[in-house]
Amino acid sequence: MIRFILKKIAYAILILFSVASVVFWLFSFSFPNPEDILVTDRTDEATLNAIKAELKLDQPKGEQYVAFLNDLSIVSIYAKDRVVESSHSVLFNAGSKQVVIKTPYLRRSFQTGQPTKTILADAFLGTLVLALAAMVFASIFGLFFGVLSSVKQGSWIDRGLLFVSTLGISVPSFFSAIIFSFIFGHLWGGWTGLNVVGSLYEIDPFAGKQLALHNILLPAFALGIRPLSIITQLTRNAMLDALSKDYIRTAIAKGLNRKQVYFKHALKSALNPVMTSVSGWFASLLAGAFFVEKIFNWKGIGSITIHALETSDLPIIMGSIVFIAFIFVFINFVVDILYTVLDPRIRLSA
Amino acid sequence: MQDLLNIQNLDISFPSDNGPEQVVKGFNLTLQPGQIIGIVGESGSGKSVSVLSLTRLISNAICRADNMSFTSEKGIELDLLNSDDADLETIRGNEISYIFQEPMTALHPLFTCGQQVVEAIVQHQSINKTKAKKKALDLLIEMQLPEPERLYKRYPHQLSGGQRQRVMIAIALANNPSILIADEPTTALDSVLQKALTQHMVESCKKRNTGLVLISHDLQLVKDFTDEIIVMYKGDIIETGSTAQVVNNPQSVYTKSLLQCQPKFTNRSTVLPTIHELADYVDGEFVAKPFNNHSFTFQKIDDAAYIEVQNISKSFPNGKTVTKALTDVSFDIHKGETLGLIGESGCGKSTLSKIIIQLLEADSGRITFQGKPANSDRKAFAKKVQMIFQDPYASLNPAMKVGDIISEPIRVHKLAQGKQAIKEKVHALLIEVGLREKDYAKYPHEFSGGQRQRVSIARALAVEPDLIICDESVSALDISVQAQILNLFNQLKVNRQLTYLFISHDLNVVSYICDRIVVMQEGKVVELSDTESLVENPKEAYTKKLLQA
Repeated sequence: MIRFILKKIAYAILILFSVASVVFWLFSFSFPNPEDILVTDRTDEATLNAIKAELKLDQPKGEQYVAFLNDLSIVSIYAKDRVVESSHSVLFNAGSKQVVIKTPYLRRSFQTGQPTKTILADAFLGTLVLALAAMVFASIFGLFFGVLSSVKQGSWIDRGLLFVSTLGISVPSFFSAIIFSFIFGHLWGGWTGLNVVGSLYEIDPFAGKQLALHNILLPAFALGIRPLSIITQLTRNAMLDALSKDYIRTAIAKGLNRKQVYFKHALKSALNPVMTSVSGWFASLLAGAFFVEKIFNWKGIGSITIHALETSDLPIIMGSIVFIAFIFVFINFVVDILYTVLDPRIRLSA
Repeated sequence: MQDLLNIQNLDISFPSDNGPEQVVKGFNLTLQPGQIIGIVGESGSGKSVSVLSLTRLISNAICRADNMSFTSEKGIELDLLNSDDADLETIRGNEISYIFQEPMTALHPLFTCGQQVVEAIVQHQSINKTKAKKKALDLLIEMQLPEPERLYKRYPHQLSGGQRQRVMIAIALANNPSILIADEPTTALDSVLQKALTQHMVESCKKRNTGLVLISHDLQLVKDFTDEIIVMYKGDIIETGSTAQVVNNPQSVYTKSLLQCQPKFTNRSTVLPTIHELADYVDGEFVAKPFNNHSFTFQKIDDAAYIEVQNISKSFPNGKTVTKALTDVSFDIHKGETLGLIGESGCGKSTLSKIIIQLLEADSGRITFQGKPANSDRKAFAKKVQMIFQDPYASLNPAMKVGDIISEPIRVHKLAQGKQAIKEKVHALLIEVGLREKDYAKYPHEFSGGQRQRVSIARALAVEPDLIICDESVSALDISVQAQILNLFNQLKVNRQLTYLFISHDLNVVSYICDRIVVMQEGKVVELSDTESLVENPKEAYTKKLLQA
């Protein structure tokens, strides 16, 4: 088990390294002179040079690449007075350099000068809450509808659920987001009390920053529709597949009643494919729901990345890509471990 | 004594597009406590359907009967035909238990063996968890499972087929049922295990005074254990009687034919009769017809070795340890002979066959082909050595037409040019293996098991090989179909001067068809000699054990 985990961690590091490399070279070719973005009419030569020195833009691309990876790495080497992250602990000194252990440094925004990490962490909270709400909604109802559909296979309930969920799979989230925002926020806004747009926190002129949980309803619903539909169909198919297995006949022959057969024996086998789908969706929602966040003006990874693209804020774009890659790798890692808990057959072959 | 089961004139049908399709007609069965009744028949005879529908385990079956009642020893009476689901749930697994054919799929893969036994106990007995656990463990011990405490916490996939079936018996007997119904309980296991496991099951039932219904396609197995035998064919009961009477003095033509189809040492190199050559089925009755006994005349066997297997060893890493699959295995195959390779499952037979056809590489040792290393020209070797696999359902691509399956090797090895020539060649092959030209455009699922195996044979013959390796090629077939396929193998051997390496766990089949036999145990060759001396005068203890099974 420990070997299995170590192997997965090694893979994860390799993937993150590759993503970071691709991101660096991609952007160094598409923006050969990033300092141009920062220059305004009032910038003088001295300021420009200072900026270049700070970002190591005066050095060859190869060294910029090494510096970029060094900043990202948890264990990194810096000259003694140039450690980028204030909270770090020194492992050991080597001449004028020191090897430190720190959190990854994602540099500062070109636009605001704030650390990228602070901006991402701020936005991630919004995304996390939204993704969790959408997935909890989609999983609970998806499992319920899926089991219901399989138990009532061939009935009007089953056919109706199949029809509605097929519709749900086909509707893109930006479309349903606009429709929901328009109907529930605008047309019936007075009656539902919901806003057309809004974030997790609202800035009130008198009370300051306030939690606005009701704002989550519409974006979470819009985001959850597709996973809900897919989980419904997947649960239905996995349940029907499990119910056709020989061990279900064994369970019936033991004298178990229908409820026990469905929920204890069939559902247990059906959960595995469903979990794969749930985790995949969760990971992609954590990466930011670009359209839905934009449409509802929900502050999250998706909306700040779009904003950074509009303003060519390179550190934010690069940082968010690496961060999104990290989320995917992390979720997959957790799911791999969960599999071995859910299905004992995987434990041996790992 | 009071009958546990009393079934009179049971008809079963399934709904289909052309109205209900009748699969069982006029089935009768009475069973008393401690009695053992065998039901024998080929696939499609309705033997399983008739007993599985007793507790409505087949949901879409429509049953009709004059009487179908169950009376437990405690005096609980139940009309099985008209009782509701709740009543049946109290009977299933409690008074009437089942053991199914496939130990590999009959246990839930995500629960431990112990949990599955406990579940059966607590479902019908009101006792606490600790006591149920203790009981489950006692059952595992009674089933003679190795290391019962450890096995209790293990999952089904970590057990062998025989062990899984023992867990299944433990589940079935957990509530000391009045009736145990065993549907082909040992068919998926090899012959040494078959007998031991059936013996154990019978003893466990006797101890509990449980009535046992043993269903099998194998009359030879059933006759050793049962008091009474019911023979079925296409939903009809053909013959009922005491075991001694049915086996020694069968009344029906069908039962007689079934006994004659059996390949064995004493009728080797004769043409096996098949049921339809021995009898005609007219209006639900078999009418005997004359069968002309005749033998095959085979060509002389070459003295020089065609393939030499020299000191082959192979091991597989298994976690931290290494499992030795083969240790220093050597033998020759001569052109024109049928060499048998026999041993229990896990003895390394299949690994060896994969090494011979170069699907696996040996750790040491070598295979020579006509004096040269076999791996020097792989394509030439693949053209001369072909393989037919065990499972005709899994070894044919379901998305390909039979014609395409057979013509693929012809195209790969460029044995015929042009569409027309290839098609003609495939037609000829289909006729040769006993299929029809129009089967060219059909898909594998449209064929029965025996017909699929004919397709596999045609596919192997397409490259005109010298040697065919048959890996358990007749194990999954009914006795009459098995006779047909064995005849086909022998006929092809005469017509095409073929050589066979015949791998099987069934000594009856091997001693019928083979000239020489290699006995393997735990990856080693135990004994190698010609069939006569091996059967009549076995030298090794292991061979004797195999012969007794």
